[in-house]
This record gives sequence, structure tokens and C-alpha cells, in this order.
Amino acid sequence: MAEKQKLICDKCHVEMEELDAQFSYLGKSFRHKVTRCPQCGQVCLSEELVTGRMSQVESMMEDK
Amino acid sequence: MQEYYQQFDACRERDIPTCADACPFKMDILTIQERIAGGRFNAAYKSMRDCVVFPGIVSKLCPAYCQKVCVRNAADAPVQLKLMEQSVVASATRKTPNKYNLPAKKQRIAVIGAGLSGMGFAFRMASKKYKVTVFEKNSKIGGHLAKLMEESDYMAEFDLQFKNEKYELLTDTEITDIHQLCKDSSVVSTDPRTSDEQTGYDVIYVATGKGGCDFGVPLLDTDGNGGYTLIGDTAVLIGGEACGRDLMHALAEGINLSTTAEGFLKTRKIEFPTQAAPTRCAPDLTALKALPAITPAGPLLTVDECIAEAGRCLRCQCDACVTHCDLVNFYNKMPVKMRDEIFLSCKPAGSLVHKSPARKYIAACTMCGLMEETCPEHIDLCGMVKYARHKMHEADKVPAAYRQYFMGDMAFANGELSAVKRMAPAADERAGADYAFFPGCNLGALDPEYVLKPYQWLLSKRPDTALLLRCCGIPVDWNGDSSLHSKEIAGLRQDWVDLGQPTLIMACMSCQKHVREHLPEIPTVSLYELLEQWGFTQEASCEMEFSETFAVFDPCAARNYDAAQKAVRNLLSLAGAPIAELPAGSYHGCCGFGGMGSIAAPDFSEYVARQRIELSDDPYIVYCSNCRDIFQDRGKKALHILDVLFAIDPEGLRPQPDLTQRRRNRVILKNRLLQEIWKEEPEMKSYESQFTLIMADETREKVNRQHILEEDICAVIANAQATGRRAFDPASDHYKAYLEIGHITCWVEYAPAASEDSFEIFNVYTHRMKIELEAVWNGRKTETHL
Repeated sequence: MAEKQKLICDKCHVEMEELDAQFSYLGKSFRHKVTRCPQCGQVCLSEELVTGRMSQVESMMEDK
Repeated sequence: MQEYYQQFDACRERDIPTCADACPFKMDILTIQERIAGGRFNAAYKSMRDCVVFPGIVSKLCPAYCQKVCVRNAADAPVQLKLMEQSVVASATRKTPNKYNLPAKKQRIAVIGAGLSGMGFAFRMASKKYKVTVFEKNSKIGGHLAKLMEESDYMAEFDLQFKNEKYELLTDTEITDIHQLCKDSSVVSTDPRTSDEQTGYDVIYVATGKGGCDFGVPLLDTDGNGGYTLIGDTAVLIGGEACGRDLMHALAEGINLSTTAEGFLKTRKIEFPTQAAPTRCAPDLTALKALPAITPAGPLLTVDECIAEAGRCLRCQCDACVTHCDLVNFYNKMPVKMRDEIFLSCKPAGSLVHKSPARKYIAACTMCGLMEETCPEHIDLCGMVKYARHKMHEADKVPAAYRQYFMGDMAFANGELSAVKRMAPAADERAGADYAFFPGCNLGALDPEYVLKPYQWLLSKRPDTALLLRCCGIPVDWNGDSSLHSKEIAGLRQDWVDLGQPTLIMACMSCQKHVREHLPEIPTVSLYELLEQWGFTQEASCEMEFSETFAVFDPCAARNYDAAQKAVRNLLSLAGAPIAELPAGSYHGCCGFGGMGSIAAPDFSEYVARQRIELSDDPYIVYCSNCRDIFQDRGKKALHILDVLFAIDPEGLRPQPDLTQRRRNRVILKNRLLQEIWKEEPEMKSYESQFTLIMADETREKVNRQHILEEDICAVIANAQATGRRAFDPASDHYKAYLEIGHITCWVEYAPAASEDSFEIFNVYTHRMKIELEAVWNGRKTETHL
């Protein structure tokens, strides 16, 4: 699995890893493991995550 | 808010159907019909018994008050409820009453008269385990029943229902002095049965039948309503045929008074049943189609015949809102429930109540106003939703991403690249114009011709007709932004004053409705009325052949605007278009654009659009450009009336412009207006993207669906190229980068193309959640804002 995902941070030229990142929406924050550059911290979200879990959480928060 | 809130008190959601209202027992006919229709005859029998106590007697003797008021009378024949009841009694297999192990109660109840009413009362009290004694002056029970039915039949029914209940029956016992039975220390009892521990009865029910003794108990009124009195500590109730009721009402009264009696035993207060207000249930009779009554093969209906007959029942309920209002229908919530949730959702964000259960559908509503018009009580749910949007905006409870695109689009339409406010070239600047054409912001975005051609025609009739090309401000109203809305309205008013207070010629019905509502001082007229009044004739080159019939789809904003509706039809007839009407005329909701809920609740908007599309198989002719967009986007052929009159896109073949093209069209329109009408060489900035973007059609469609503009994509790429903040995927040689565009985060997967400043776009997706980058990462300060 990890082989397939080998994204490279274009700034630091290192392989990106699965690391925690902070998200916030409608006054609430949460952490989730996403692809991040271990050096500069930039994140990269896959479409799968954005349209799947993230969109679910968004709509759950909006319904509250 | 209070004003809206109170309107819902009139909601008839819980009003019973007229048949149940006419029924002396107020029988739960809806439940019974449902159970019969489902073939659940034992359950139906149980429901009937819960209401009437003796279904075996009532089903035979009831004169069927329900059938006299059945709405089917107007179409064919009433639902044969009486026959159905008899059939249920005959077909039910489990009729033995349940046995409940309740503790016995010590209070004593006397019933004078063992007629139907007395027996009904006695049954109810006995089933609650009171000590019941029935006094009957004759040797047999049943009273009046003996003349109407076989004795064995009604005795069998009494035996069946009283199977698990005990009561004491004293036949051949005539009561002459009611005081004998009362609990009263001042009266010396001569009754031998009232021994020391049994000193009279707590409640006495006088049901002595027609012409029977009333023991001087005063009646409540002369209409034959029952009555009550207190003798010592005993409550004496009178009812039934003794008060002039017919047999069925007498039984119903006996049953109802058992509640009064029990109330007295518990609280020592007599609450006599009050006459409920007549039902205001208003069923939707458009669903009423003639269906002949089932004729039974035998004396009764068979199980299948009974189920078929239950299918004839409309299950009358006031459900105008469910039928007409998309919001009520889609979210499957009745308006009263919605009211409570909306009320909660409007509480300020910091209050103890922080939930917003109605947030989704408040944002989804199309604001079409159909609910208020079709509700028999004219409950203004739309109005409440709009008020709630303003309240929630104030309380900062609306996700800004919901309408960010529309706000940006309005700003663009009112910006220097697309807005036009001009006196006609031939007009005297100082005199002011009598008329100004107000095309609205969407027509020109769809195709500049929609504005150019009608304006040229108007100028040919009235050369001093001014032009006011801008947004009417309805998006901010829909967004609930009160302060920006007043600003927009003030701006629009100022423009109107600057042009010399002309009558605005409106091409968009929503704009017109909005202007009329918020700026009543501005005189408006629809473009279509003026086209007709000023004698529009089609140019020969614009005439077209029609090979099919078109249904005229009136936009929701023109629902009660008869003049415009008529003008549109007349113009179409003149143009030779074969037109048809939709089944409910203009009484349908919005196409799904209104209220701008498509981002907040895309599934709801889609549902609404589908509902409107399915109104007719014919292609539509519309006179709102938003309706046209919605239908054409979904593959339903829809022409704008201007397509027909000016041959702009008479076949409906023009591909729908994407969001970026819409902005370009507005710029093109402004340029062309200045060049062709005012003969100026405009020095305008163009609206071109920073980069050339190469996209597959599917990607372009996806971008459109997410309300992303090319300029947004360019901004993401520009940022990524400048900062280097992008991820490289060696597997595909693509870059992935993101940027926050207002309240959304936009991700773009791209690769540089061969030529300079051009990029190939592979994917675009967005989210509303914010990525919170740490200020310090890996021991180094990082840029948290993108």
C-alpha cells in the first residue's frame, strides 16, 4: 500500500509520510492521519479522503 | 419570529377525517382502513372494539353516519364502512378480549338501566376493575335492543365482551329514589343492601332509556346533552337515550362518560366531555378518481373484497403541504415539527441551545412560496425559513461555503466588468427615462443575445429606453445577510433614481418579485407584457417551424402574475408555437434554483428539479433563465421564450456555458452593448484566465458541479508554482496542490503542458474543512496560511 502512495514533497524533495494533521470546521477541531511532508509539514489529501470521510464529517457537523 | 410561530397553531395536521368526526365514537377510521388494507382483520377488529365496545352490535345497528359525509359521495359511492365492519366482525378469528391482571378497586359504581348505553358504561368501568352493579327494572338486559335485533345475537356479544370482566346484575329491580344509592350521611338509607361497609355508590350512571326516569338530574342544555349532579358524595351522571340520543350516540355517551366517572373518582371533580370543534380536515380532492364500490357476492364482503374496498378509501387528511411543498415532502417532516426545529436553530450561537437541527433544510428551501398558497390555513413556512436564514446569518450559524459562489457571482455581476447603467443613446440625459430595461444578471451570462436583441427591439419602439444591467440583490436576501441586503437594495434604488425613476422592464420574474417586495416605490412591468403591448411582431427571419408541442412552464415567481402569464401565452401563439398547459397550471414549486440551496443540499435541489421535469413529457418553454438552465443541464429540452421570439437558440442546441464562460459572456455582453448601442470603443479589462487550462470534458463538468471557476484553479496553480508547495506523484508525473478560496479549500491535480503558461488539469476537488497547519513544525517556523 505504502509503495503506491509514494508522494514527494516538491519543496523538500523527500517522501511524504502518514502523519497527524489538525483540521477545523464550524468551531470544532480534530486530528487525522494524512500524507504529510516530515520536513516542511505540507499536507496532501487524496480525493478519496476528501469526498469520503471528510465530506461525511462535514455534513454531520452541519446537521448538528 | 413569534408571528410566524403562532401561525402553525392553526395547522390541521392532526384533524381527523370528516367520517371519523361524524362517527359518534370518533372511530379511528384511518387506522382501521390501514389494517384492513393490510389484511390484518384481527387487528382491525381490536381497533373497532377499542372504540365501540360491542362491535357485533354496532356494526349491525349503526346507521353509518360516516358514509353520509364520505368525500367519495361527490365522485361515486361512499366507502361501505358499515359493510366492511360487519365483514371484519365475521372474518376476525381472535375476538376473545385480552385478560388484564389489574388490581381490584374498592369504589362502587351503579348503573341504572341495562340498555346499550348502560352496558357500555358498565363494561368500561368493570374493565378498570371497579365494583359495578347494574340495576334493570325488567327481567332481561338489552333494553331497546330487543326490538332491533335477535336476542341471542346481542346476548352472545355481551357474553363475549364481558368474558373477562365481572359485574353484578340485579334484574327486576326498579330504582325509584336515587338517594337510596347515594353516599350521603344525611339521608337514612332504607336499602337493605347498604350495610355498614357498603354505604352507597361513588358514581351512579342513569341510563334509563327513552322516556325513562331522570331522577331530577339537570341536563346540561336542551339539545339532549347529558347532565350530572352531586348528591352527597356521589356523582350522578345521566346520558344515553334518556337524554334524547339515538342508540349509537347513547352507547358512545356511555363509553365517554366512563372517563368522566373515573376522573371524578380520582380527583373528585366532574369534567364533562366537551364538544370538540368540528374537524377542519381538508383532503386533497384532486386525488379523487371514480372507483365503483365493491359489490359483495354474498351478504358480506369476503376478505379480498374487503381489502379492495379499503383501497377505495382516500385516507382523508390535511396534507396539502405534503402534496405541494418539496421541503416537507423531501425531508419527511410535518410543518409543526419543522417550526420547532427552526425556532431552535435560530437561537444565538452562544446560547445554551447550540443545536441547529433545521440547518440543512433552512439552507435547502427554494423559497417558492407554494406551501403558503396551498395550505388551507396559509401557514407561511417559506417566510419563516427566510426569516430564519437572516437570524442564523446574524448568529453566524451558516457555513459560509453554502453560498460563497453565489455571493462572488453577484459581486461580479455588479462589478465594472459586467454592470451597465446607461441612458439610451438617443435620450436627453437631464430628462430622465420613462422606461429602463432590467434584464437581470443571468440572461446575458447564458448568451449575450438574450439582452441585446430585446433591448434593440425596445429601443426601436421607445428610443429613450435606458438600460440597467445588474443583479437585483436577491442572492443576499436568500443568503440571509441583512446588512448587505439593505446595501444592495439601496444601491439598486440609487441606480433607479439616477436614471430618472423609470418603470423597470423586467425580463426575470424573480428579480421582479424581489424588487416589488423590497422597493415597492419602483414601478415594474414584465418584458413580456410590454412586448405584447408595444405590438411585437416576429421578424420573418426569426419564424420557425414547430414539430412538437411545448408545455409552458411558469416560473415560481410568476405564479400569481396573471398578466405576465397571459402575455407569454399570447406571444407564443402569435409565434405559432403549439403550446400545452401543465397539469396544475402554474401551481408547482421552483425548478430548484431558488433559494440557492444547490451547494448546501444538492440532493434536495436535484430532487426538486426531477419533480418539475416529470410534470410533463413535452419539452418546456420557460421565461426564467434559471429554469432553462436547470432543465437543459439535466437533458430536458427547455427553450426560453426569447429563443422563440428572437430565434436565439430555437432548437435548444447551444451547449450550456460553464461558470467561467458565464462570466466571460457577461463581459462580452457589456462590450457589445457599448459598441453596438452606444457606438463606443470600450477600454475594458478582459476576463481571461492567467493560464491556459486543458481539461477533459468530464473534468470540466466536475469543476462546474463544484462551483469552481477557472480563475480559482489558476490561483491554486499560481500559488503552487510560486511557493513550491505541491506534492509530486512520481507514478503519474502529476502535481497536487491546494489553496483556500474563501471558505473552501480547492485541490488541483495538474501537470504543466507543452506550451508556456498552460497546464493540463486532471482532477479538482474541494472541502469545507480547514487544514490547520502548525506554526512550528519540525522545530522550524512554517507558513500557516495558504
